[in-house]
Amino acid sequence: MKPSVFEEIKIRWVVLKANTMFSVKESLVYSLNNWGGLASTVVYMVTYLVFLSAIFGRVETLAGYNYSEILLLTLVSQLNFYLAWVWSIRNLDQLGEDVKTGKLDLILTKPLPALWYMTFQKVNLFMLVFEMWPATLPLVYLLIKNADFHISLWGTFLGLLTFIFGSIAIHCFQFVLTLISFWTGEYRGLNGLSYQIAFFGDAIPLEAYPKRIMSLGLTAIPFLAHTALTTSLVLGKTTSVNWVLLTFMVMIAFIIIKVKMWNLALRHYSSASS
Amino acid sequence: MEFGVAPLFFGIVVINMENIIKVKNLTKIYQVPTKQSFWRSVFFAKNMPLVAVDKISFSIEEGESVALLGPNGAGKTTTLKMLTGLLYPSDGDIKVLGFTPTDRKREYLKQIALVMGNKSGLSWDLSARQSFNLFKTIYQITEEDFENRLVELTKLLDAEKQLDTPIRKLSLGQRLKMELIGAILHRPKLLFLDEPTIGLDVVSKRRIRNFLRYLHDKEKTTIILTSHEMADIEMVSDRVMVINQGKIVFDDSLEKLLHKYQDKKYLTVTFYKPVKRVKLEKLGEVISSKELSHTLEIPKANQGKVMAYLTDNFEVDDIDVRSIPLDEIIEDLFNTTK
Repeated sequence: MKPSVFEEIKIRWVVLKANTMFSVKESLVYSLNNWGGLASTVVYMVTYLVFLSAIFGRVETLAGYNYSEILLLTLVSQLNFYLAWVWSIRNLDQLGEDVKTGKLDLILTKPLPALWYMTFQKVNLFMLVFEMWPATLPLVYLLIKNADFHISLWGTFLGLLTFIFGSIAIHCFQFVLTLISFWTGEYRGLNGLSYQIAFFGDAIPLEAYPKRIMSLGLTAIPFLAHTALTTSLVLGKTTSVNWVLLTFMVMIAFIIIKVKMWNLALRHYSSASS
Repeated sequence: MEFGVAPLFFGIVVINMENIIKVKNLTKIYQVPTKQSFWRSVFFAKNMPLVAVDKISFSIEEGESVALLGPNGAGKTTTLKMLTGLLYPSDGDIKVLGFTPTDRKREYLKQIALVMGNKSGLSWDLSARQSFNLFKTIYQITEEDFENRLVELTKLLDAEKQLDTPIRKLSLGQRLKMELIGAILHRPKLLFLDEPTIGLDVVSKRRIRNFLRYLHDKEKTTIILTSHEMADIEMVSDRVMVINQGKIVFDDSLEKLLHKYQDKKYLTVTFYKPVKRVKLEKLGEVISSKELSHTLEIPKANQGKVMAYLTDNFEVDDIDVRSIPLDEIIEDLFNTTK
C-alpha cells in the first residue's frame, strides 16, 4: 500500500535525522582532519580580510559597495559556502563516487526515494558547529565594528528568499553536471568545475557584472542569485520583486531538469561491474 | 500461478507454489565504444552493440534456491542486476514479486536484498552496529525486532564480537558477514547474492554457505546466487541455471546436472612401483599422471572390470573412485555450448 503524503514526509524526516546523525558520527572519526579543516578555513578568512583591508585602504568603494557592504557580501558568501559544504558538495562527491564504484547498486535496492536520498545522504552539521563559527567570527567582528549600511526588513526578507532559491538552483545545476558520471564514470573534474562556477559570483558585487554575464548568472547558470543578488536585495541596491520571482522560476526549472535528468541517468546506469 | 499438492495427516492441502520471478525474452544490449583515434573518439564517438543477455526466459518459485553460473562476461551478473531493477532491460519482460523491478516501488524493495561480494554497503569508518541502526530506520524495523534479529544473526555467523568494530578494521570475511547481516535484517523474501564468497578463506566460506542454507531452509528465503565457487552452488542451491554468451544453456536441478555426467568416473590408482602411462591408456583416458599414481576417466559400466584388471596385473597400493567434479562438468558445459 502506498504511504500517504504525511507518512511519506514522516519517513523522509526520520531517515534525514538518521543520516544527519550518521554523518556527524563519520565526521568525528578523524579528529585531525577536523582540526586541519578548521585551521585552513580560519587562515583563508584572515587572509581574505587582510586583502580587503588593503584594497579599501586605497579606494572608497568597489562597484558602489563600501568596505562594510563588501564585508556583508563576504558574510553572505561564507554562509553560502558553509551551506554548500554541509549539504550540497559532500552529496555531489558521494554521488559521483557511488556511481564510479558501483556502490549506488546497494542504495538503489533500498526502499528509499533514491533521488531524495542521494541529495541528503550526507548532512554534516558537525562542520557547521566546528568550522563555521570560529572561521566567521573575525568577519562578524569587523562587520559590527565598521557597520556603515542600511538594511530594511523587506529587503532582508527578499534576500532570504533569493538565498534559498538560488542555493537550490545552483545545487540542481551542479547535480546535473555530476549526473554525467552515469555515462562516463568520471566526476572529479566536473565537480571541481561546478564548484568553481557556484562560487564564481561570491566575491564580486552583482552591480560589477556586465549585463550579459548578469543575465546568464541569474538564469542558465545560476551562480549570481545565492550571494550577489541576495546581498544587493538586503542592502536595498536592488528593490524589484521581479528578481525574486525570476530566481523562484529558475529554481523550479532546475528542480524539474534535475528530476528529468536523474530518471534519464538511471536508464543509462551501467553499474560498475563486479 | 502454479499449484502443488502436499499430503497432511488427515487429508490434502493445496500449497500455493507461486512463481515469484517471471522473465520472458529478457535482453540486455550494451553500447560499447569502439577503438578510435583520440580526436575521432571525442567528436565522432562510435558505439558497438554488445549483447550481454540474449532473449532468456525462466521463472523461479517462492522458496527456491537458484544458482546462476557462467564464465566471466556470460551475462549472469547483468541478469541479476536487471532482476533487482538496477539495469533497464533492452527488451523483454520481468516481473519479480508481481512488480516491475525498474519501477523501484518501495513495497518491492522492502522484500528484496542484494549482497555483492566485492561492494560494501556499510560505512567504512563506523561500526556495523551504527550502520545497522541506519538500516533499522530505512526499513522501519521496530526496536525490539531489530535487537532480537541482530542477536540471532550475529550468533549464527559468530560475529557478536565484531559488531562494534569499525568496518575498516575487520577482515574481509568478517566484513562480508556484516554485509550479510545488514542485508537481511528486514527478513527479505528474496535474497540476491553476487559472488558472496569471493576472496574468503575456507573457514569463512563454509560458515557463509551454512548460513545461506539456514536462511533457505528455516526462513524459506528465496535465494538467487551467482558464483564461480562450485562449493557455493553445491551447498546453497538446488537449481542451476548455466548462462553462456547471454543464453541459458542449462536450467534444471543440480542432481540432474550431475546425473548427466554420472556415466563417467575418475579412478586414481596409486602403485607401489612406477607404471608407464601407455600401459593404462587402453583402460580409459589418462587425465593426469604422477610418478606413482595415474588418474583415469572411465565409463561407469567398466568400473568393476578396470579395478579387477588393475589389481590382477599391477601392485596396487590404493584406488580412489570419484564422480566427475562439478567444476569440470560446468567447464564442459561452457565449452560445448560456445
